[in-house]
Amino acid sequence: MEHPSYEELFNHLEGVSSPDAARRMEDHLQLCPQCAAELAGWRRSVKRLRHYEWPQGQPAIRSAWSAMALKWAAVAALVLGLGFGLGRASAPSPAALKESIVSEVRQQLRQTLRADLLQAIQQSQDRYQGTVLEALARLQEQHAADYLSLRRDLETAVSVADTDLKQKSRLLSELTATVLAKTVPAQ
Amino acid sequence: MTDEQAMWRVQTEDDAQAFAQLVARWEQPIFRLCARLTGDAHRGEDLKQEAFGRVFARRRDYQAGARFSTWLWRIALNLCYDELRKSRRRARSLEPEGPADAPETAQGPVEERTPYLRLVQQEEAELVRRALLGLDETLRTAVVLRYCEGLKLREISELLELPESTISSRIATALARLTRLLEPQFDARKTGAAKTDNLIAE
Repeated sequence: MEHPSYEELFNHLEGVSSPDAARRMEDHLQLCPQCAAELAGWRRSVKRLRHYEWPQGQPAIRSAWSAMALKWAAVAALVLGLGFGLGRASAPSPAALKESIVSEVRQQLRQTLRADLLQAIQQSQDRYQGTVLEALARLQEQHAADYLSLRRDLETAVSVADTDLKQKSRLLSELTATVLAKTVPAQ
Repeated sequence: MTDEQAMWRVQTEDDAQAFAQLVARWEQPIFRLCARLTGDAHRGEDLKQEAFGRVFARRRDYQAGARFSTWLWRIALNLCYDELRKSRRRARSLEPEGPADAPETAQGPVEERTPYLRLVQQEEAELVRRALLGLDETLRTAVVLRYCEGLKLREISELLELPESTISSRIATALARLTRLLEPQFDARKTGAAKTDNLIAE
């Protein structure tokens, strides 16, 4: 009897075999207890991998207060632990002491790393906000300068137009006087 | 806001809130991956922190349009591989210290469990953890991504930049080896438990 390969068994387990291949595999599994047991074992392994709970990680970012509180808690735990250990008649074994110190140091390092990360993010955000505020201030200054310049241009234009108008009015008066002098004969 | 949109904000605006959102969404999967690949919850925690630190430090390298999850998984996997390499070097330079450390597999919500059941589950999780550690890195990575993290074969293939057939083959080999390692141990536990029950009944 020819047994299926691991890949064929895997495709059957995952349900990605073609209908023909799936039928052939079912027929084979009916007749071959060895392959049926193998596949059943695989299914149990998958269930074990999926089913068993694993440790939960700690939140990556905490507030500075919480980080500080944890740091103090860790220090307090260390002091209490050491006090308790010293007070005991039977001293802890070197291996247990080493494990405890390693664990405490790890805990403190984690807190420090977390605080550093939080601080880096905060600084980065502050820098960004500072840049935006500076850009806004520059923009406002530019607007004020543009407004003043425009207003000056407008006043100059009005003044020039006024002078021009007065000049034209004077010319018109002179022209009228000249025409009247020519058309009305002298008495 | 999708992961990609959040990452875009982190990349272009250094948006701390968007970054915090990404961390909140992904810290548990990344922690689990690191803990399972290294077999150590403490190291998993450290690697998770390092992975997010690296995401922020390398935010400018993120390719807009690429899937954030693939990028993040890859960063975490590379950190795990580096850590495993370092561990091997350390192990070679130190004297063998016998069996692995005490279980780091403290369980999740435990309020409703009896102490006995909790102990049984911890022991069984420890068996699975050790069996996983007995696999080569390549097999362990494939099987953890598929069955612990629930990634599809196509996603694993994209992440590891390998053909799907290679991934299938690796997972099949991993399952066969895990089954060889786990079945006798779980059978022995069942037999032992039955004997204990009989003794109690008598």
